[in-house]
Amino acid sequence: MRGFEQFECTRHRPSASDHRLLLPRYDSRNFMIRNAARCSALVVLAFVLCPPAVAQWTEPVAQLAREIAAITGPGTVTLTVSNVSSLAADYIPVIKHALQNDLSAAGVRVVAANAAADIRLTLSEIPPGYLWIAEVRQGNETKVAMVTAPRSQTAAPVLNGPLVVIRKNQLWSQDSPILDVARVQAGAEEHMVVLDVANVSLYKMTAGRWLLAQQFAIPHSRAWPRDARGRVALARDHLFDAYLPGVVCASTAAPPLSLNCREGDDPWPIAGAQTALFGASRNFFTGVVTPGIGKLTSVPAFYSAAGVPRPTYTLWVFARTDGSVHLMDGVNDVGIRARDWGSDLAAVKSPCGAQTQLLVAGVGDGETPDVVRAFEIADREPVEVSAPVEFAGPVTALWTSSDAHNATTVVRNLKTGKYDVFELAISCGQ
Amino acid sequence: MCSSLRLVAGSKKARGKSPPCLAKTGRDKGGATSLGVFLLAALLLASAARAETRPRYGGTLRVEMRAAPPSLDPVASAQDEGFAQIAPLLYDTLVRLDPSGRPMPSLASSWQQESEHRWRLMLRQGVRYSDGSALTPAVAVRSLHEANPDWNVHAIGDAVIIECEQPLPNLPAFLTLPRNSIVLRGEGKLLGSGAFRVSEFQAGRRLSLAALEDGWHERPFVDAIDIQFNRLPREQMMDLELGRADIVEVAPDQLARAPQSSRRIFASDPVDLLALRFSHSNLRDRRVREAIALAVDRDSIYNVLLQRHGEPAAGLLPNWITGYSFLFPATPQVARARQLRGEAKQSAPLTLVYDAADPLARLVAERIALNAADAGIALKALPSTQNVIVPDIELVRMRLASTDPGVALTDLARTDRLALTMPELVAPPLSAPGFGADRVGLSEVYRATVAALQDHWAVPIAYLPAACTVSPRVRNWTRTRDGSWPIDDVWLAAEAR
Repeated sequence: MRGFEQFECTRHRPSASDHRLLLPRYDSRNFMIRNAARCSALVVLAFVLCPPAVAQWTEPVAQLAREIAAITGPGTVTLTVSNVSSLAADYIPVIKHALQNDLSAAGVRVVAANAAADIRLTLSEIPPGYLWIAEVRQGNETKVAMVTAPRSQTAAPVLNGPLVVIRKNQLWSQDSPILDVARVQAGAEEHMVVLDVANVSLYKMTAGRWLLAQQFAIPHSRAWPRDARGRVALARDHLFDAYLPGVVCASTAAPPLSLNCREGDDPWPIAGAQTALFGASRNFFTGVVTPGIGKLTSVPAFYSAAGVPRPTYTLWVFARTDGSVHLMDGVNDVGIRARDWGSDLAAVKSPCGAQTQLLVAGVGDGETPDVVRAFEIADREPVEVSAPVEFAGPVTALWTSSDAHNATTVVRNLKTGKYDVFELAISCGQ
Repeated sequence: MCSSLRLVAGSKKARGKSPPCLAKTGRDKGGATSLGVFLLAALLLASAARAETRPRYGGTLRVEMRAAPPSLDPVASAQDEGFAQIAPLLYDTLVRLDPSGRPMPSLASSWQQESEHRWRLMLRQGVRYSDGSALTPAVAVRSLHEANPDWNVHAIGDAVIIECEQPLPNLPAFLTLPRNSIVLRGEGKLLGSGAFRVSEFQAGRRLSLAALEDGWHERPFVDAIDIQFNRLPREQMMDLELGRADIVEVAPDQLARAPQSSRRIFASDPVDLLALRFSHSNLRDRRVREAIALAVDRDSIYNVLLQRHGEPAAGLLPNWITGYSFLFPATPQVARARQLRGEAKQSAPLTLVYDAADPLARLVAERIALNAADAGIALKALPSTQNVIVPDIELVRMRLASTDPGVALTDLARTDRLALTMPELVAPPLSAPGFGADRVGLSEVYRATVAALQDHWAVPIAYLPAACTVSPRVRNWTRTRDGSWPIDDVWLAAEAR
């Protein structure tokens, strides 16, 4: 419950040279009785009439009623409500009813007309929350009471199910930027590792929900780069490794875990055994790759890379920092036509088509909804093989999972402001 | 496709020992074919091989603005709007405001109000200035004392203690003002802990900034920023069109033409107050001032001259930060204005001076003169170039200093541009809840605004948005509600090749 503030004074009128400030007068008589009546009325309203957010407005409404009652004293009033805020229309009758009940408990009865005072309640808004302003007109005098109220908690949007080829499954959502997520199996228990710039969080699947099991702060001596990136990779002899710019963390083998982090520029895994050095103060891979790709041990700096298996070699696709997309097979380096490709791509295995598809984020300006599309590289020409799957914001990360059967993508949801994580997989015959 | 790829690859290694597809690269049939394929490949690669979602590091961002800060000293340039835009690039304050207007830690990691007159702020560890020296309590104490001589500022261990005879209910929000930037002074140098350092500064002309590699901030995407000052709106727009600027301001009168432009315009919420300021020596009769205030048709100015950008203003602060502007009626009352004018027996024509370099100011001033004529008051709108020694009325334009209502109002009261008489904002009890325990309540701001406007020494006319537009290579530019420039997060797209 957020707090409130109250105030009453005469309304400013340019034609009136005098106005006076009034001190709030709070009548505490029968407070308990009123409070009980108010609470019961709000409980009924909250659970019968609807929006659950009304519960958090109990105190602001009560405070406003007290202030109005202190101005009018017991008697009759008319009440009109106008909404100039972003508050959903559903809430207005609820607030009005709650205020009526609180006023009634304070001895102020709301009638349709011919009242001793007229109350005009305006539901306004300021950046931190709502501002509810009651103008109380008695004769020629208008006094004002204000309370602030917290914003309603908006429910997370329900995302659509899978589309034609790319199946998306929402794994997680949180307020702070997520770098990568990985699902891990520890014995019979299913866990999820969420990596953000502050923490490595381990969640355990319990009764169909992810519950936080452990959380580890990530120590680092220098500031993260802007557009910080990171990876979670499953390990053979322990549960997972977490890679951040200039920092590497390794977990122990089974929960309860401990996490050992150190500063270092260990290469990050790209796919399978292929690794690449990541710039500790940048948002891209430097181009140094281990093992080498064919005879090449370094390539131009890139944002992301994906390996597409061929019968006798692996064809690597690089989204370079200069905006171009190149194919490399260890001998040749060729630019390809990559219209509307963003800088994030990941390869995913599937039973369909060429059995490996390239998932590619779209080109956005970081402030518009993004799409991910699937491509196959046929004769070195990308062919789009899926309908685009749409997201509610820009894609901020797209990584191939450790088993390469799906990809993890992080989306900054423009509607909620949260970071949503999806598992993407390819489905045939859609 | 493969033959074209070979030409791009241009490698002898492509032949013989290559994977299957590359075997096709030996099928060229003559120079004409090669030339055609080369052109096709070049065309394809130039036009289509782009991948530009993830931010790119590098490049110089070129900015132009009309303001011309005389100095980079936060105290000397405290009232300069241009300095307010660039200060966050160079300097940090102890506290910053989040987009909701809540005070958040910056160089201070935490703070505590110990009494109505005393605050304790703990400094963040590990902050370094652009020369590598560390932030110390002594540096913070000196900076705050330079900016606020009436404060008693001292250090106790890692804490900075601020005391004042007047209550300081809103201190954290007040510390976010650029003049309270924590700077390292010495040997004629002025260093900040921001994400950029100064490469070159020519007062009134130009400022070059370079990104810090190892500061305590995240390293900016751009390597450098080049800011040109004192550029007229027309010059700025021309430079943008010619590819010589990346970020330029859009004047309010240009906003009206924005729908016809293909450019992306980023307009803030209303942040510039346009108001009349009456001369205390020339217009002592309150009735004349009130008559003019009642005669102004703000809705008409908003609808016609501002093309519905901004908002009509009868209060001192815009609605988006107070939520209560409708409590200040903006509708003209011409009959009452005539009555007041008759009682005052004002007959001599009055002068209304406006900024000659601002086309919108001229239009607004002329409209106000017409409104005044409707009330029987002769008002002559004159440009500032006419050098009227003591104008009866001035049309002034001021940028909000803060999105915190209490701080913004206090700043308006401090400046002599409006000459407001305003009571001190009363501190709420320490235990009073609110959106932020340290905020001056909105009700208190409302009360003070009513009091400040009751004598009509200043008459608000409208609030205008601050707007800018950016070149196509600027990425991740976002609109801010307060008109500040989010340059830290901006990156530049790779040049088309």
